[in-house]
Amino acid sequence: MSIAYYATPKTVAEALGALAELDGRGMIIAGGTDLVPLIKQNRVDAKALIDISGVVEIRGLAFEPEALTIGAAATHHQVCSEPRIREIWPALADACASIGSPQIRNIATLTGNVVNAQPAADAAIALVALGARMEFMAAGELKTELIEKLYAGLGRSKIDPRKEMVTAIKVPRPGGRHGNAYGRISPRNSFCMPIVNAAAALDCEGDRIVSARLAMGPVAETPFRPQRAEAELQNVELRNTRALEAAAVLASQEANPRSSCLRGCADYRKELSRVLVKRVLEKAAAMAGRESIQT
Amino acid sequence: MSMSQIPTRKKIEFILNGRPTRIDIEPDELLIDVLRDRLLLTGTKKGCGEGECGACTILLNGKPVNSCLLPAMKVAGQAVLTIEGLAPDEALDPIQESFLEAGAVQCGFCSPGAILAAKALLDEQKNPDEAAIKSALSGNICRCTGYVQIIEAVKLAAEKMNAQPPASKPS
Amino acid sequence: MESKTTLIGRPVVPVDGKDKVKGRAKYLDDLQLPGMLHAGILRSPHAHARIVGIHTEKAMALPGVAAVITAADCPDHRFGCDLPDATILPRDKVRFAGEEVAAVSAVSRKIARQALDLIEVEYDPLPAVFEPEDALKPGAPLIHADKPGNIAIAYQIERGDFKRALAGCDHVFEEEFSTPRVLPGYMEPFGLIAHWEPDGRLKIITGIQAAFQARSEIAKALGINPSRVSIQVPAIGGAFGGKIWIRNFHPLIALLAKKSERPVKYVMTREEEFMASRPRVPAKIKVKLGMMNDGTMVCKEMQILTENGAFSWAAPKVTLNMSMRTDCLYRYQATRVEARLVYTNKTPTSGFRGYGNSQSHFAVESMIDICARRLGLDPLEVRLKNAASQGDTTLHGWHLRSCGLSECLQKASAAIQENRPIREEKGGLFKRGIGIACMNHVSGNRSGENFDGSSSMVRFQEDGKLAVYHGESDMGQGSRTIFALIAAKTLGIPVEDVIVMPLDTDVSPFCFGSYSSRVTTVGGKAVYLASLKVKKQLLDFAGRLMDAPPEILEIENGEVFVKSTPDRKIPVADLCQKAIRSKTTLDLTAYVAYDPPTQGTDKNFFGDYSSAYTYAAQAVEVEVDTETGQVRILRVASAHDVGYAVNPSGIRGQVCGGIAQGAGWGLYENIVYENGVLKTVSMRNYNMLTINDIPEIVPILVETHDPVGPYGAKGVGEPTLIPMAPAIANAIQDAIGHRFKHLPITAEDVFAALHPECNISLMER
Repeated sequence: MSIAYYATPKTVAEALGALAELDGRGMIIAGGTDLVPLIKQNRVDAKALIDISGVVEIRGLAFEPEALTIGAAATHHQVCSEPRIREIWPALADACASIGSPQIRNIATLTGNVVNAQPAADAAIALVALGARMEFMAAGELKTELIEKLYAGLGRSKIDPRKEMVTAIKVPRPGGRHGNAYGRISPRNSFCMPIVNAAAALDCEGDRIVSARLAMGPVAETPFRPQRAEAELQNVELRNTRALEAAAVLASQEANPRSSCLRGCADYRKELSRVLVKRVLEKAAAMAGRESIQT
Repeated sequence: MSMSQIPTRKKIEFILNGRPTRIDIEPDELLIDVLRDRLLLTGTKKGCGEGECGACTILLNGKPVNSCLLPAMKVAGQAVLTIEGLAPDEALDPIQESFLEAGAVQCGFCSPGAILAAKALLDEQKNPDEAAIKSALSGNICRCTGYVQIIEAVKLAAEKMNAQPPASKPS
Repeated sequence: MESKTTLIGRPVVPVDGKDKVKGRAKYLDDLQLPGMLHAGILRSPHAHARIVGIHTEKAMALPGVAAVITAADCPDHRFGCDLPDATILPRDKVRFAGEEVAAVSAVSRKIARQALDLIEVEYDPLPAVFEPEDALKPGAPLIHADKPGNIAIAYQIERGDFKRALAGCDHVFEEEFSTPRVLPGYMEPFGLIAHWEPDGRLKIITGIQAAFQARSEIAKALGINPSRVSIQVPAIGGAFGGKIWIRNFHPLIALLAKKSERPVKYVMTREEEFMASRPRVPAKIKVKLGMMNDGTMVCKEMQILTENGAFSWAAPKVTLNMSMRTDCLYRYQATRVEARLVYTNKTPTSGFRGYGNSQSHFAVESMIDICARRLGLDPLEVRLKNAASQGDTTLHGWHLRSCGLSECLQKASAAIQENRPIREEKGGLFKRGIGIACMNHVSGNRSGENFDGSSSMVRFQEDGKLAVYHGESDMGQGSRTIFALIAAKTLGIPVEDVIVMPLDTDVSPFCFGSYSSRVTTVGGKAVYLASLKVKKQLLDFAGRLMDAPPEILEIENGEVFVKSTPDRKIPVADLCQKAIRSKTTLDLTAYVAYDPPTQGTDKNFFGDYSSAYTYAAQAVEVEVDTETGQVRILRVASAHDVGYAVNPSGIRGQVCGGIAQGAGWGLYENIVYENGVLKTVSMRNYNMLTINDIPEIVPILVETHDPVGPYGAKGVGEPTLIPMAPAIANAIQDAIGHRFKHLPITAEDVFAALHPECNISLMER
């Protein structure tokens, strides 16, 4: 199946109009770095592409009182090179900075990273830990949903790019004492799929963790939140490395990675996720332990 | 709208190596094929076709991207720089010169992509440190050189570019 | 590396470098011929299956398709390397998933791909075998009817009285090692353009390392005379041994071009490169080393099992090299080897940088560290104690006319201890270690009575520029630059006045090809000798014009002058003008066919067979993250006996490139199969080093001034990779006390060894 039509709308309205007119035969494309290889392999069943990278309204970053709004067409490069994001959401900056190569990051979007629905998608992992939401137009309405709830299964997003259009990602602004961090372990230092990756976001009061959100990949079909480990972290003192380690152990026990002859055996990935979650927790705790950020 | 009514082939206009260019393209054409097969600019190389090697790197609005993954439609209204656009005729851009002098060119297949990635870096940062150089070139795989002389080339290019009086810098 | 300049006393840039950085250099896929069509190749999805029928009507009917070729269109001549067992297309059965089954030509690549989907092939799958041990079992599926037991070739070589030597040893150690399939990983996918001239001659444009051998092999496959075939070699985007020999697609696309009556271009996709290009020969090597208490290495035995894949290409020679060369690195009293090369239903294996010597050095150089440590001896001292040296005649009859082995070992081991990277205390979780390994290699080699030389023609043009014609390919290693330097130095003319002509077998002198690290030594020597010959013509002529005997003349900076009174001079350009353009009719051309003064090997593989033997030692410092098992190579001190450094910058490039490839082989790269199905089909899953992975590299040149090579130069291309993997394994043992004997040494392997309490059940490799 080859693409017969390529639309380049300049506004959200135009994009939605094209989607509607094509009535399921068209598909949203953002950066295309995941989609183009699939199209070349004839694994995409669409006759038309609607490219949203030119839609001005959704290209930028907006720093609002409650949240960071990342336009649906914003690239990994935009996010990881923005100093304010690095300051407040280092997990997201680090995650985006680790994806692919500079060439990929200049074109690929966080939206695509989520909608492509791979369990170890780095930006998605960070976004899930940060409690980010996705805003999207579906059936004429603007909807919003937590990103972690937008997965239908391995490689399947609940967002249907034939009918629905993502407009933004909203990352809540942390209040008070907070730390977040991201980490990954890969065979070579760059331009590489991770063996495991993880992100943590810790909301604190004083020196104690009040709520912890962890996201791990690829240890399940989707980005995975180890809820027992998160519960275990409640009330833990930031400097209590033994407790952080114990939570990491729990997280790895909850994790259920597959064995991959290319990426690593299940046992090793489980152990690695323990090490990585511990490191990520320590980094997040260190950030929270510093002066609270001017948010 | 019925599919038969939708125009397929489209004329796009973009700036290519500093010159306004118009070309008819198919909706599924990739930039690398437009450059190499249609415009006969074969300096951009196809190493893998899946965005994993960087040999196809061009600059889109000054930023390095893999032309093998870029639908050509995306460049409408944009500026594209290929290796052929770096310096006219027999001239050499300081980065090209530096790659030669530093021994960074062996088989040369990765060189156009690496040179453009270096250009994007040096246009943004006058004195990148080694970590910044490595980061900027991390999407360009070279199997011949082991990269050491490529890093030296970029450092040498920075020196040359900083030594040049502004008026004579290539546009 | 101390600043050292080139043969001509100043730095030079590669002669083709400007074209490469301007994007003007033409590689195969940059070339178009009028009316050219594009080819697609249909490949078998089955590892082993009978071909019941092929139906091409639907493909032929697709608009834009010109022709389809199946086995019915192909002759059955066998071709290959030492054991020709391939035909252009299989007639009766396929033997590996990825094997060519049919080919299509069409007006575009897109249509060619669509046409492939329309070719219907009926297969009857057969039981397949994927591991050499399984292929050897009685009752195993037979891959080639004329190769019982699936054994392609076996070697048994013994030198000295092994049994007696072993009996006299204080200690006998035995270990087993293995190395996997990895790919040369060149950046430019392989391919060709084939077209038939009106006079019926076949012209092929292809980026191949051995053009004349390609010509004869393609002719053999097609059943035509080699002089009806011409090979033109454009710029090559890397090769490393993966583009020495032809592929089935060379004669296949030639046939397709004939049937299409148009030129046809075929370029592999990267996925096809993974499926059908030939990996390094995987090996299982058992080493038995007999030693004395004082560290003398008395005797060595190896049992080698190598995997051919479905057809024989270079694996027989690779296995032979693997069996022999490490015997000459140290002064053993006796050695013995038994090697078997076995067919499997996987992609055929072949040569890659080191060509068997890499695999055997991994085993032996690891073994020496293991054994030395067991005896409480310093592995470096053991090596130095037993090292081969200049003047030796080795067990296989090699005459070591120059040998810098000990110097390489000493310099590399000293350098790795200097300027060590500052140690960061990470709570003891990161452990550092240093390891060293060394190697010997060849600069070309002669089997039996074969040619092992090179030829060159040089011709002065009437403007004073020198045209150099050569048949050895430049695959990026800079051979054309070496030839230009040698010609310039020998003739005293500016290197900018030397034009190294493109390689075209119709015009270029007969050569064997760029492999075995031979080109500087034999190719360069041919240029040197041809330059000397034409220099004599020029000086004889100048002498007549200047009324001076030629012996008192010299050439420098493009001028011929009288040595004692340099003011008496004539520019070379003037001489050429007069010689060529006037009725003097001097040709100022010299053609030299050169063969080095080596015996070659007898039928027991004994004999001095290389123009020059080369040596190297690499010392490596690693850091192991004991929490994750990840190994980082921090620093490599790499010492190379190059004889003489004609182009130090080029050598440095070879050193860094070989180290990067060796590091990838040691730690990251692996062509993975699962239940016989290839899983590594994309660069996404094949981890070659990126710029962020390279260590700090300290290249060290050792010059031993070899008597055979031009200006004393020897080869260096392959030696830069060979010691890396064992040096890494030795460094890891130094760091964490664990010995890894199977490549690649992954983080997973290291973690499992460090943390037995975690009970990691590793996946079978």
